[in-house]
Amino acid sequence: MPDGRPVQVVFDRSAVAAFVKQSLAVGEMIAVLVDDDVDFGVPVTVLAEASLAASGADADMLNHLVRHVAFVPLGLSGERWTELAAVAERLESVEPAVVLHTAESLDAYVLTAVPGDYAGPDGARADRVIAIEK
Amino acid sequence: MTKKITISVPDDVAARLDKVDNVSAYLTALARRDLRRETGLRQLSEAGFDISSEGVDRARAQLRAAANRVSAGRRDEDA
Repeated sequence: MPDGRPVQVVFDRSAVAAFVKQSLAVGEMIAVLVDDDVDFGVPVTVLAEASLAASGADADMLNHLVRHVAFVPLGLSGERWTELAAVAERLESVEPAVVLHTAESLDAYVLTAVPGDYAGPDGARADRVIAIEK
Repeated sequence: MTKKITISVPDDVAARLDKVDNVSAYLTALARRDLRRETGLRQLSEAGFDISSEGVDRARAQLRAAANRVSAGRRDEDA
């Protein structure tokens, strides 16, 4: 949270991938955040996965993302691993749990192209998940 | 480093600034916010995004809907 600015949206890997493929919906979301003087963040594990997958033009776009004035890399708090484990149990997967848990910790929202990954066993999607419009 | 400048403002702005403790800090924060916004939008343009006001409105509506869902969820938990 540089300069005391809150992180309002956390991107998951699908949102990062959508930005890399120049999804206008992701660009428009960033424009809103800039307008509102808030930031967006990406968990460092998601960034590492995205950078493994990116080469050539995709790597250039990933650089555009991480150099953006509203971008913040988000670390994991080791002290809160049990909360993360509980979210992972609910979602039956660790990666979306990292994103959702990070967003919950910051009282932020999750931007994703795969909202179904954030549904619990009852199929109900987490309230703070925003699906990227196609 | 700072630079001392003198500015002229309309009466309504002067009345607003009269209520501010530190006018320099206040105007600096506003200018920085404006600069950041300009930079952020230019960066999107350089990355190839052609942002429209309709698209921004759509994204803002999505954020508002998510905020409403979270608030409603909290009310349900409290009830």
